[in-house]
Amino acid sequence: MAVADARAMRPALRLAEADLRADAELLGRIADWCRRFTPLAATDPPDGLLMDVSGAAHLFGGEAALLAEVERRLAAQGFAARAAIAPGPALTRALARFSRLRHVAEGATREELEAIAAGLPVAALDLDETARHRLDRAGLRSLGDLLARPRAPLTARLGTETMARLDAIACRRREPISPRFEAPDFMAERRFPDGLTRQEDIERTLAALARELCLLLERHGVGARALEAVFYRVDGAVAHIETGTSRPLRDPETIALLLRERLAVLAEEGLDTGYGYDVLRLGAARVERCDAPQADLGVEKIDLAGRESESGARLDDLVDRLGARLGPRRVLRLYPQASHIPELAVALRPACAPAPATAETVPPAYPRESGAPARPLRLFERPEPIEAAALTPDGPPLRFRWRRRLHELAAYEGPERIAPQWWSAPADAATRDYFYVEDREGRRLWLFREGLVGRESAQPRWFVHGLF
Amino acid sequence: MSRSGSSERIVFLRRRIAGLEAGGEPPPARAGDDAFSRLFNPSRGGLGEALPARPTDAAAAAGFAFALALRRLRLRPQGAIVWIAEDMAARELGLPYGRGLQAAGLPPERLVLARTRRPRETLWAMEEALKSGAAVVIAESWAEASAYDLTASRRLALAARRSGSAGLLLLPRAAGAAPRLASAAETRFEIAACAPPPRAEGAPRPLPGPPAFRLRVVKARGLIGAFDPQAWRDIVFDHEEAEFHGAPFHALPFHALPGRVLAAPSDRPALAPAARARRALA
Repeated sequence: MAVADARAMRPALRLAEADLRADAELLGRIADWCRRFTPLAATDPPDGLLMDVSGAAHLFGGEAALLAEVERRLAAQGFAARAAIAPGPALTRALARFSRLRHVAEGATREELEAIAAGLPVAALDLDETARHRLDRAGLRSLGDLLARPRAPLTARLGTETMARLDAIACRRREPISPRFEAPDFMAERRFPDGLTRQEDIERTLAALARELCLLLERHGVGARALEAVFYRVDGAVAHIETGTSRPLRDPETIALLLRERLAVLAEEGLDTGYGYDVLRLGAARVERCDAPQADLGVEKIDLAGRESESGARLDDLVDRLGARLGPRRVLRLYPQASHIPELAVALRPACAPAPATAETVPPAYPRESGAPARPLRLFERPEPIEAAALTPDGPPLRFRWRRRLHELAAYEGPERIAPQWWSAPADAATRDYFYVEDREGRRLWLFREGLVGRESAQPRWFVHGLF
Repeated sequence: MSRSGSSERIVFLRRRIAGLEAGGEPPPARAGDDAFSRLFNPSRGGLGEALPARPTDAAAAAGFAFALALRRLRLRPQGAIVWIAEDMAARELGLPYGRGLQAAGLPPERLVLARTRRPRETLWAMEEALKSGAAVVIAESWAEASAYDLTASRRLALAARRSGSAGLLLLPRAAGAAPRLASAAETRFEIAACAPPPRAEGAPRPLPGPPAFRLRVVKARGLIGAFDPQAWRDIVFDHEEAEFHGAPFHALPFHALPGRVLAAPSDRPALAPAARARRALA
C-alpha cells in the first residue's frame, strides 16, 4: 500500500523512515541478550533469531518453560515476538512465522515432522512473487502438496535451492547454526532472581566465578589466555568485557584483579547498572596448556624488583593489569631491530604478546665511549619540522627556530649520514644528515637535514627528531 | 613563594647561622659530599618528583629522572623499569628511544613502556607499578600542578614505601611550580638545562659535553636543612659509572676537544676500527 493511501485511511498515522542498519544492530543486541539462555545464539536477518538450546533447556525447566520464559522476557522489553522450538532450525523458523504450533518435542519421529511440515503454507519457502503465484495457480497451497509430488519434476520447476529449503523444513537435511560468538571453552555463571546493582556485588560475584572457572581449568590442566565476562541486565542490555593475559592464567585472585580493572574502565565510562544485572557469566575464550608450577631451576628472568629468588611472574601480572585498564596495545616492550634507520631500529610491540623470534641478527648497541654516534634518549613519533639555515651546505644550522623559539648553536657533533634503505625505500626517500646539537642554554637536540643539497633537493628541510 | 618553600629556606639558613655561631665553617654542600651522596643514594626507595624550571627544560628534567633510574638499576641488576608516558607528554617530549637507552646503559628488555591517555590513568598506572615492586617507575604526566594533589602523592608515596620501589614523577607542564607544590614526595628536584661554558671569540664550536643538569633540591625529606632550596647547582652525569659529579663544567675534558670528527658508523655490523682510533686521537 502506498503511503498516501495509508494516510488517507488513517490520518493520525505516524511515519518513520526505515533504518535498516539500526534494525540490524538491534537484532544483534537481542541476539547477545539471548546468550543468557544458551551460548549458541545467532541472528537470522532481517527479523529472526536462532538459538541452539540442545542441552540448555532443562536449566529453565524444560523446553516449554524455556519458550514461555523467552516470550515473557521479550514481551516485557516491548518486543512482539513469536517463538517456537523444533528439532531443525528451518522448521523452527517456519513454525514461528506460519503456524500456531509452537513446540515440537525433541523426540519427534520423521513421519511426525513431515506431517507438521506438510501443514505449513507455501509462503514458508520464501519464494518470490511469481513463483508463489505459479504454485498458487497450480493449486499447490501447502508444503504437504509439494512433499506428496514426485521430486524430479518439482525440482525442474522450482530449482534446487527451493527444494533444499523444503528438505530443511521437513528436517530431511541438517542445517547448522552459525553463532554470533564462539562459545567459550570453559565458563562459569551465576543467576540471580534480582539484579545486582552495586559494583562491589558484581566484583564479588566475579571473584566467585573466577574461583569456579579456575577449578574447571585446573581439572583440564589448562590456563586462560583470554577471558570474557558477560553481564546480562534485567532490561535486556548486555555488557561485555574481554581481557587477554600474557601467560596462561589459573589463579582466581589474579583473574579477579584483572576483571576488576576492566570493570573500573567501564565504570569510568559510566557503567549503567540500571535495574541490575541478573546473569553474570565468566568464560575462558582461549586456553593454553598450563602445568603446575615447578620449583625454580635457576632460570634467569628479568624480575621486577631485581631479587633473584622471584620469577618474572609479577612483571607479567603487572603487564596484564596495566593492559586490562589501558588496553593491551598501550603496554609495550622495546625490541631492537636490524635497521640503521633510527625510527625503525626499535620496534614497540604489545608486552603481552610473545617476544618475536628475531631471524635477523640484531647488532648490539655500542656504548657511547666506543665512539658510536650519539642516539637520543627520546624520539619523536613524527619528526618536527624546524626553520633552520646552515652556513655551509653540509654544516649544522647556526640558528634554528623550533616551536616558535629561537635556538642558537653552541656545540655540535655531526653530520652522521644515514641513507635510506635503497633495497626497500621508495625512490624519493632522501638521505638524512644527523646532527647532535647543544644550544646556548644547554638544550640538546637531534636534528637532521633531509636531502643532500644540490643532489637530492635544492632547499633541504630540517627536522628535530629527538631530545637528549 | 609559598610557605612550604620558604620554611625550607629558613631551616637551611638557621642551620647555617648555627654553624657559624659554633665557630666552624659553613657546611659545604657540593655534589659528592655527604648530603648529596645520601640524596642520590640509589638504595633509597620512595617517591621523587622532577619539575622543569622553564617549559623548555622538560627534556632536561626527563634526562635527570632517567639518570636517577640508571643509578638505581645499577644496584638491581635484574630489576625492571616501568616507564609510563602520557600521550600529551609523549607528543611534547617524544617517547623513550630504545637505542638511546641502550647506549646510556639500559638494556631495552628491562623496560616496560605503558602509554596512558589522561593524568588520572598515569597516576593509577604509577601506583600499580609501585605496588608491584618494580625497581624503578618513571611516570611523565601532563597534569597541572593543581591536578596532582596531596592525596594523589600520598598514595604514590605509600605504595613506594611499602614495596621499596623508587618512583619518579615528571611533571613537564608544571614548569616553575616546584616551590609551590604541596605533596607527600620524599624528594623534589627542579631541573634546568645546564648552559655550556662561553666560547672564546673565534674558537671553533666544540662537541657537546656529557649530560649535565642545573638543579636545585626543593625538598628532601630526612635531609631538611642540608640544601638551600634556592641555590642552583650544576651536576654532570657519568653514564659509565652511573654517578653524578659536581665538577665545574668547563674543567671537564670533553669540552676541551678542539676539533670535530665525523660520527663513525660504529653501530653498523662492519664496525670501523679506524673510526674509533680517530675518535680516540681527537
